[in-house]
Amino acid sequence: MNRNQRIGLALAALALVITGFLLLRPKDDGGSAPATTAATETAAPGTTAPATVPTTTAPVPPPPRVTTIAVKDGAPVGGEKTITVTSGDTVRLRVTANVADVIHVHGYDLEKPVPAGGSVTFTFKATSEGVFDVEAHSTDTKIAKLEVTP
Amino acid sequence: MIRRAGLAASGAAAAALALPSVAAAHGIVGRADLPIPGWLFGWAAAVVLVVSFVALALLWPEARLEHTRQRRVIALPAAADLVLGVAGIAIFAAGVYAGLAGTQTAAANLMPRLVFVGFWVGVPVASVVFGDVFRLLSPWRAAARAVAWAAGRLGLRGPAALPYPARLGWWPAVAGIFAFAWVELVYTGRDDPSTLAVLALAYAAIQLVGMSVYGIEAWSRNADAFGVYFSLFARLSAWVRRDGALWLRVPLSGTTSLPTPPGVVALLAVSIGSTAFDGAAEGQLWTEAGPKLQQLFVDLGFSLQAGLEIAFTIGLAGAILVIAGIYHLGVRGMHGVRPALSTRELSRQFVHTLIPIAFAYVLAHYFSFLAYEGQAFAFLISDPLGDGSNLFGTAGQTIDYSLFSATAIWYIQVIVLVTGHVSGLMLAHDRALTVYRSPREATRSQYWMLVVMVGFTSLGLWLLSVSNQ
Repeated sequence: MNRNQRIGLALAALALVITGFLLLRPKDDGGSAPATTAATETAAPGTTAPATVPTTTAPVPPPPRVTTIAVKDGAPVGGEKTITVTSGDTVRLRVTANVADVIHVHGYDLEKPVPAGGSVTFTFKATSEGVFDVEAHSTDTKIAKLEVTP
Repeated sequence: MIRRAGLAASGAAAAALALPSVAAAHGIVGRADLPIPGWLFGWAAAVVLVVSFVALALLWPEARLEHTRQRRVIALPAAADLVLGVAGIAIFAAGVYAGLAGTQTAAANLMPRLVFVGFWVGVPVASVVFGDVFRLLSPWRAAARAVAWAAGRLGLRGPAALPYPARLGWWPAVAGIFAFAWVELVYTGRDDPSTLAVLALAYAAIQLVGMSVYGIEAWSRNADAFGVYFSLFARLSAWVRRDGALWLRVPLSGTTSLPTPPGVVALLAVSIGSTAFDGAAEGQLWTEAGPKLQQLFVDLGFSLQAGLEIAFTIGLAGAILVIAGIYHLGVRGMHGVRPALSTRELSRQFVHTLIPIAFAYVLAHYFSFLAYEGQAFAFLISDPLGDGSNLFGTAGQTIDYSLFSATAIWYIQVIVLVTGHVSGLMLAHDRALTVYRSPREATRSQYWMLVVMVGFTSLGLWLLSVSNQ
């Protein structure tokens, strides 16, 4: 193979790789998919979600979802849940506990006490991407994972 | 890394039991990377293949990385040894003191991050960027040299050092690195600051005894696990210290002069295998198999915690064997090309090609860990004991987890793994040209190394991708 052939081959490979990247890359850059949560979802209080949705709805911003996690004796009821949100969304997380505890959202470094038999609500904007642990500090148990996707 | 202790225990089998001793081993990290999405994984794997075949066609016909020239840049006086040695001892002492005297809350104590972030991930990265810094920073080597210097000044002469047993080779280093990986990935008390401090003191004591018996240099270059391990990565660096000066060389070229004592292949297998296991431990395969294995040992009468540790030990050892197996496969293949070359000989001749792969694994897996947890040193240096002190006025600093977008981290991981792959291929190609007589044989032997490299790189990508979740 002479020099020109080598350069040609390298360029062809480069073109192939770049074309592949452009074709495969997802198109919806910055498109915000509605927040989906794997955990139990309830419409936020105040926004009465009608059972019959009007047929001609323009894409209105979805109402902020509240994810509720019940903690019993320092462990999550029903196992560790994954809350998935898109970067920039507002996270609303409600934690109930039967014994007094401190709930810690890692990465966002939010820490709030929850009284015995009571609940605590975190509302914050998901600005850091990644998978973050939510912990109950009484037992240092992970009660949920917060997944913030691009 | 560290955060996954409770994982197997929180699996279906053990969830109801929720053993506090296991759950309490929560790590200093509450963050993980998002897995590389399917499309990017597929594309990156394709790039690996394209790059490999293009490399086969384009790589040079004569060895280029062996015996390269070096350029002397600047004199490096002995004072550098003194300054860095003192710094190393001071950092070691601060970490051990914090571990013993400070809060036992892992995240607020200097010691856990010093060990798992600064030392275990930070030093390999610094070694590639600056050269073999640990040789000068090593607290045990610096302390031993200080003692030797002082004894010399006082005219004291101890018994002559014993010759280091050649048969032992690097096996003590293999044992040390395996032990560290075990503490990091298996041991449930890994985050406990005082335990880490005691382990660090014990390790330093063993080193001091070893150096006093076999001589500082002989021991440091063979049996000090971290000295040996970090020096592997330093061989990738463009910088090398020699004859009292700092020299510039072609990056990667330092690996070609890697000594190959007994244990060298095992050391690289432990390095790559332990990082691979850390990735796999977060994936579906292990989160399903791990608890079952744990249950098996619990049924045999072990406690939940012991069962967990035994299961993870088997997983770690298994991952190391898989890596060693892939490499051995390639060596067997090359042996077939020219049977006169024994597998043992070939295995040692090509082992340096795994160094860039090992570094790529470390960097791809722990890049974000280093970038984020490394920020913690800003507040830890002001409050190393976690007792509310504020030595330098930075105790209020926090970690900014929005520094890198998930997309940026994915691209960095892919670029790092592909770069490691290409580096490994180049080194293998170069070595083949010197080992095999004809370029034709060299090329044929390299089909096998190509399989090995593609295997390692694809595995590395897969471990970080959604396919593993």
